Amino acid sequence: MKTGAWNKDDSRAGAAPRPATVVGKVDKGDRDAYIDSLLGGLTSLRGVTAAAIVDGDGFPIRLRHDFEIDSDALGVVVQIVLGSARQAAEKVQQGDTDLVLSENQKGLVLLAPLTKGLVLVVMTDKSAMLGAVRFELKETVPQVNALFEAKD
Amino acid sequence: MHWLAQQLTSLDQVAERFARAKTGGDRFVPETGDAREAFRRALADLASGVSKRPGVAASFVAHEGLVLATGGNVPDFDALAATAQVCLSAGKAAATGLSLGGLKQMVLVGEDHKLALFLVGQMALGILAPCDVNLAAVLGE
Repeated sequence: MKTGAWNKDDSRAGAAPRPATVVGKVDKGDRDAYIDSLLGGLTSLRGVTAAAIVDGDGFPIRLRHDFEIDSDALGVVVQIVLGSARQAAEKVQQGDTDLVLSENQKGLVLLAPLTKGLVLVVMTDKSAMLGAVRFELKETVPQVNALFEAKD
Repeated sequence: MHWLAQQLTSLDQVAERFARAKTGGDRFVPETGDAREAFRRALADLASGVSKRPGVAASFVAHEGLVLATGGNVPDFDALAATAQVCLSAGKAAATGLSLGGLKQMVLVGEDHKLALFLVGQMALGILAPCDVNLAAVLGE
């Protein structure tokens, strides 16, 4: 499927519109590359130290990070923080949890539930700008979901 | 052409390309990442560029009350971004109630400094300057 959207390189005046590529089917190699690129977009933000996609059991299935990170701890963070947030939201009848933010002494942890029980995890240091990270995260989630929902 | 108006027009063009790149609905569009990065860079350039105008103390871009990009140096950009959200929300309601048309800008003037707020699509641009600075002249030339 194609759309009539303009590509980035067509910004010059008078350039003919070039349709954007819309992926409805994707093979595993391409999917991994696309996901890496989306996680790379997050880690390119100031202060973001890691971005990962974690499965329902807490195992990271894709991970981009600046320095050594305890992937087991990442799984535990997802289970505890997201689980607690979901329970809290249920208690106050606020519906599904879209985003969880944990602001800590040395940085932030943001968790966004994805399709198929997956979770997008972003970790930052104190230099991160919350608005930028949150904006990027909210824009990235539908893209990651589309990749996981796309047929192989 | 007015300098700031020119910057905002350029930003609008980048924002429009970003919006168009998202037209895949619930499907993955590889180009969206590039367009989003270009949009983010344009916002950062705007905040940085505005803060370098003579007399401007600091500038920021905020999204839903949270800081997205900054230029210059003030102790608390978070507070400025939150203030921008509160003021612009109230301003939008007032503009609607008074049939002023869509809200474009607001200025808060204190005894020492003033804060100019501009709505740029879903973003807020804030400019902080000492009271005696003529922002129209500084941002126009």
